[in-house]
Amino acid sequence: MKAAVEWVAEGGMLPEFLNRLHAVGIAVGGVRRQGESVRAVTSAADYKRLREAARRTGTRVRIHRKRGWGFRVEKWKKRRGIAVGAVLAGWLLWQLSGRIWAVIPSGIDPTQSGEILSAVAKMGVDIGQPIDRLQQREITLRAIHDLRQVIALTVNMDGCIAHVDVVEDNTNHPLSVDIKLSNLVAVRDGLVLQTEITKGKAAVQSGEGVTAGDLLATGSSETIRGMLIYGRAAGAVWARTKRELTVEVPLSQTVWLPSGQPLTYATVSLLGLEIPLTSPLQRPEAYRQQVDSDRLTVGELPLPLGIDRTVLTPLAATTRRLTLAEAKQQAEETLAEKEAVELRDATIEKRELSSICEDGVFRLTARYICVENIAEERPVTVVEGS
Amino acid sequence: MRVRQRMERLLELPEGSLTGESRLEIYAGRRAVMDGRCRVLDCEEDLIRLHTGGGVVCFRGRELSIAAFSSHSAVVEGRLCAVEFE
Repeated sequence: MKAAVEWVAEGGMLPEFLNRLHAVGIAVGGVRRQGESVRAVTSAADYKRLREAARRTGTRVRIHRKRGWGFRVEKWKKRRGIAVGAVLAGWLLWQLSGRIWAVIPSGIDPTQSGEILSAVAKMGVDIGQPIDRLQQREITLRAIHDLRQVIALTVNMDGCIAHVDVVEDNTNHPLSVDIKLSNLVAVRDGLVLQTEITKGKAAVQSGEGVTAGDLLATGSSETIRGMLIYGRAAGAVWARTKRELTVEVPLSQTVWLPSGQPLTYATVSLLGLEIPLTSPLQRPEAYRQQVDSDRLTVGELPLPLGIDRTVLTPLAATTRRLTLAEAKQQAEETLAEKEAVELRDATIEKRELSSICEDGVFRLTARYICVENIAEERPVTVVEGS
Repeated sequence: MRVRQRMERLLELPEGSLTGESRLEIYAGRRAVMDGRCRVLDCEEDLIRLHTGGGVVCFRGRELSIAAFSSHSAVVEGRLCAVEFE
């Protein structure tokens, strides 16, 4: 629809005004009398020519309404920046809609998600990667193969958000698929409290003492006719064990302390691309790096756009001598970390601490009495004819 | 004029095509098309008067409007009740 103006003429000689328009070749339409005025429509180009006829006939003309695409286009001609921006935004949205904006893991411990996310990133599940190239079946198979603790992994796309759903193997005594024939043997000395043999035949009973390497359960069994059948042994043998952990902390330590002004730089992160906002920095020899990431979100939806601010704090080596109290505190912290790793599957019944400071080292020793599973599956090779 | 009229009849052309006389067509009492040069004498909701070469045509009715008014035609729309020639 071409640009048209709906106008209202008032006063003067209205019929004469219309005839004058007619005489100068201005086409009008929708002429309708409304009380003392006349409402009509002309093209936008002709509207400017009404003035002369109106002046001659003593008529006042005012615009009632502007109609048609012509006026809208005219309006946007003056705002080219917005129009170009709108087109670019549309293009950008079209481009981005085919790529992954965020990868959200679920079903795993957040502290361990980094390993899984970096593994799936190598398979194409990463920010900025095209969605149509994802091969679900291959990702699942490769993840199960590469990540030992994962027994199932699927990538579910919710628009541009990739949800990585993981099922981890949390069983205490998993069955290895590679082993066909096996026995259970003790990994350390202990007093057997309870046996939970799910496959095979137990070789020990509750109350027996065992040493490391002793047979706890066998996969072979004898039939009534005396035939030996070889199979697999699996399960758990719970025993009371003695454990000892030692931590050493040197009293004289080299510590890295901040020196000089921190250096800051910022980058824009767009679909995995890092676009620097500041000039590149010359990194000091030793520094501490702190990165603050601000991701743009729409409600709960994270967008693949954000600003990363990195602060590099230069560090200088300083030799520091610890007091006994500081050394003890540090040793206890280290022991707690070691305990959490080495005794994570054991129930600690008793714990005794002893410490000694000699040769410039603070040594903290912890002795434990625990209840834990001491059974380990060991494969057995059977030679035919034996 | 008479020569042109005769030519129109002889050649079986539409009336007024050679003489330049105005032609009026009325569609179902809702629309009247005046073909030919004319002038507006009155434009009211119940009365529109157009001056043509052959005289004044007066349209009476309700909600009348001039839907189009150009150098060679005029279209009157509305509920036409009567058309008079003055």
